[in-house]
Amino acid sequence: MITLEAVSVFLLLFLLFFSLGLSAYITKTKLDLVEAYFDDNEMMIGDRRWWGGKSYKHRSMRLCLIGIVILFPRMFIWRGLVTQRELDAIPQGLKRWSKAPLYLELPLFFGMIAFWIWHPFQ
Amino acid sequence: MANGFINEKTTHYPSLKNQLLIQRGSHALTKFDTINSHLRRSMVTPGQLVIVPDDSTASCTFEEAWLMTRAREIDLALSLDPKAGVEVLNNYDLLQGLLGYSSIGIGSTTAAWGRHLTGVEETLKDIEKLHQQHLKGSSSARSEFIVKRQALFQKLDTQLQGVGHYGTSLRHNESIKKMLGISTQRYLHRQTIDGYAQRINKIASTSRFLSKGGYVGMALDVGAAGLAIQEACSTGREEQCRKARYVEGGKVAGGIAGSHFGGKLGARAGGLVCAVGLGVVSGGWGALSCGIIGGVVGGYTGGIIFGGLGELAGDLIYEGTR
Repeated sequence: MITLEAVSVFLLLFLLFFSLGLSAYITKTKLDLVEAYFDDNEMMIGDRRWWGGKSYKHRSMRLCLIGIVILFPRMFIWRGLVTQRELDAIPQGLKRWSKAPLYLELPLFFGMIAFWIWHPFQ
Repeated sequence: MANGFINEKTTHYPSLKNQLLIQRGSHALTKFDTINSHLRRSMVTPGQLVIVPDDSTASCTFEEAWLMTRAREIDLALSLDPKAGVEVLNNYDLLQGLLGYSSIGIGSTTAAWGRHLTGVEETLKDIEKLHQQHLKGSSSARSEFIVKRQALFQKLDTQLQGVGHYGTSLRHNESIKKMLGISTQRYLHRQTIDGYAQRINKIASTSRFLSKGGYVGMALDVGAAGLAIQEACSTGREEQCRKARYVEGGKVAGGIAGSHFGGKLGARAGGLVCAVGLGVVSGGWGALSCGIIGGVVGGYTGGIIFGGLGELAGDLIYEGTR
């Protein structure tokens, strides 16, 4: 019998695997294109000190930061970590690709934290 | 004055004795065996306290007696649990705490740590190279050598600040020269740096191991699932066995994917809270520490939540196919 619990469990797992797949695709195809726009950015250079490798893990970490910067630009501009000009230089299509995985990942992530607080699996 | 140290690796007793007593007088030589009666005469295991006797007198001093009591206590503890010796030596290492979580979310942060350790390794190699160049060159370049070496020591010092020494096997509360077992005078006389290559190797292997930390966690998760399935299947309970395959399979798939996902976002969120919220320099030590905390929490949470969801999904599929 299909219950609400079953639907939500499978939906959440589907979203998790879908977001991982989407993120992997974008990391592979779009990261190099968007990263070129941040070559002179101090924050990104500093970040590459830890995540400068060529492995998928490092690349996906870098994409995640770029996605967050593009999704919440004001926060970073306020701290002086990026400039409006740097962000304006990026084509709109590339911006959409970069932040697309976060639209799935962020709700999942905050949902996960909330779920952990309210209903821990014992 | 007598002193003691903790033996780091399995060593042959006579060679240990020779090494320690090479520049000592006859008093130390005669006392060594008596004072170190707790050590086995064939091989000395890691974790044992080795006492280097006082050379000035033939009789047993107060310090030696005190060290002997401690050594006996340590020997007793080690005889109850022989592996503890190695563990005691490693207990300051962050690695121990990180691997306990056994999920790949932590791999995200340990990879960055591995990168840091590679940096430390490179500085050490630079120091070694500088020493070699100096030996080949003339003595007039001595002041230049000291200035260059000072700069490299400074760099190493920065790299080992705060939590930076974890995993390097270099303790941060001593001077760098002491940690490395090098000093200009000793080096120029003997032309070797004791234990130096060993340290570089150890750091290199730790950094390789840390960058593989995620895979170790994954292997542990998969291994645990395999064991749970095996346990259910070993007693001829077909239904439980079939159920365990679905449930444990779901759990490990959900757990691994979830901890990867949670670790990545957690490490990023932690770093950004510090960098943007608190104004910590991004790309620096502070941001990495925040990232590690975020990565551990995120990876652990992701593993638990999505592992639990995977378990539920496996159970639902099992019920559906029954």
